[in-house]
Amino acid sequence: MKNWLSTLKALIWKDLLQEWRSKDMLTAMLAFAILSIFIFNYAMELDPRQRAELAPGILWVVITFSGTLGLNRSFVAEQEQGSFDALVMAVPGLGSIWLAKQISNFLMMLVLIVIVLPIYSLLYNQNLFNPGLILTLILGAWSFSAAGTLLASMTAQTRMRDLLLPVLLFPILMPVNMAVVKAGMGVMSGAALASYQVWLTVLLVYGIIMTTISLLVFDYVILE
Amino acid sequence: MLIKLQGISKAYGRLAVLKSCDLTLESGQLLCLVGSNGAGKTTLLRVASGLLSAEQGKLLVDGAEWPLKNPEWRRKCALVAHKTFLYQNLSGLENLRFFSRLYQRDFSEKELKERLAEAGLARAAEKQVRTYSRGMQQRLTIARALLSDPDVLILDEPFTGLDKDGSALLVRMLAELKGRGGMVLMTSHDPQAALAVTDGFVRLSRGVLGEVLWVDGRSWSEIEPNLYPECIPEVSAA
Repeated sequence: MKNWLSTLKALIWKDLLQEWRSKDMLTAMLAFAILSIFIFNYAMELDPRQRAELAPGILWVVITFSGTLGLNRSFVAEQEQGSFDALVMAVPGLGSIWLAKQISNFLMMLVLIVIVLPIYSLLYNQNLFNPGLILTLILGAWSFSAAGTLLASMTAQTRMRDLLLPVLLFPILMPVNMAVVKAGMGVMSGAALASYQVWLTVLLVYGIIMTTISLLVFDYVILE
Repeated sequence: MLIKLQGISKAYGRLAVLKSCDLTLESGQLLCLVGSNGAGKTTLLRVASGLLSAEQGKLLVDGAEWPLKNPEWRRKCALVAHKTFLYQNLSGLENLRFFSRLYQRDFSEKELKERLAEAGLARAAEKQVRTYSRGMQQRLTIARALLSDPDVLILDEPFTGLDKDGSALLVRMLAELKGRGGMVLMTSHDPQAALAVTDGFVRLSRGVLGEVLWVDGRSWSEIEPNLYPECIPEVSAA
C-alpha cells in the first residue's frame, strides 16, 4: 500500500510539474471558459430571477466544455515521447496511472472553478459563493474527470481524439449534467436541502461507480 | 536465469508480423536482432517486453511459464525504443528521480547525479529535456532504462542519434550489464557497431526468426556472408 501511494504521489507530482511548466491544459481551459462567459453575458439579457435559475446551467456548460478541452490535452506529455509505455513497464498496478491522471485532471477542474466563479459573479452581478453550489460543482467535477480521464486515455491514441472525446463523453455524462444543474438550481433558489438532495446523491454515486469502473478496466483499456 | 520465447505469433489484422518465433536468452548474454524495415523486430521486442500481446506463444522464465503480459515480468525488463519515453518539460535529473520513484528505488540526489554523469550529462542535469539534442536524449533514455537495474534490457536501435563517444559509452554500459549477469536483446540496422558487444546475431525476415549466429570472436567480414547469404555475389563457373 505504501509503495502504491508513493507511486501515485510521484505520478501526480509529475503531472502537476509538467502542467506548471507547459500550461498546456490550463491555458486552453481558461481561455475557452472566460470567452464563453463573456459571450453568454452579451447574448442573454436576463433579469435577476432568471439569472439565479440559469446560473448553474450556464456555469456547468462552460465548465464541461472547457474541461473537455483540458482532457484532450491531458495525455499530450505521454503521447509526445511515448512515455506511456515506460509508465506501463514501471508501475505494478496500472490503476495508479489512471488515478493519478484523474486526480490531476480534477485539480485542474478545481482551478478552473476557482477562477471562473468570481468572473461569472462579477459579470452577472450575482453572488455564486454559496457552499451548496460549490459542493455541487466539486462533486460534478470529480464525476466529470473520472469519466473523462478514462475516455481520454482511450481516445488519446486516435487521430480524431478532439472530436471523439466529446462525442463519447457527453452521452455518458448525461446523469451528471442533469444532477449538477438540478442541484445547483435548488441551491440557488434557496429551496430546502431535501428537495435536491437526491441529485447530490446521484453525483456522489456516479462518481464512486465511475471511479471503480475506471480502476477495474484501465489495465484492459491500455494493454488491449 | 534463462528466458525462452516459444512459438510467438502476432498479426495485425490479416497481416502476420511474427510467425512462430523462438528465442532463448541466458544471463550475461546479448543478442542482436537484425532485419529489414517492417520485418517485425519492434513487434517482437514489444511482445518480449510484455507491452504487446501475441496470438500464440509462451514465455518461459527458468522453465516456468509466465503470462506474456505479466506486470511482474514488465518490471524485470527495461525498454529503450524509438521514442525516448522522457518528459520534455522535466529536467534530466527530474526524469530520473521520477522513474526511480516508480521503480521504488531509493536513490539519493547524489546517486542520480552520478548516473547522469556516467551518461555524460552532468552539466545538463538541471536543464529541461526539450533543450537536449537527440543524442543527449538518447543518453538519458539509456540512463533511465538502467535505473531499475533490469534483468532484461531491450533496446530498439539504441545507437540512433549517438555520436562516437555516445556509442562507446553505450557499448561500455552494455558490457557492464552483461558482466553483472543481465540479458540484452537489441535490434540494430548497424550490426557492425553492435559487434563489439554482442554474443550473437539473429535475423528476422518477414516474421520468421532464423538461427542464432554466434560471434565467437569472428570478425564482421566472416559473419556478414552467413548473416546475409542472399547478398553474396554469385561467382560464375570458370
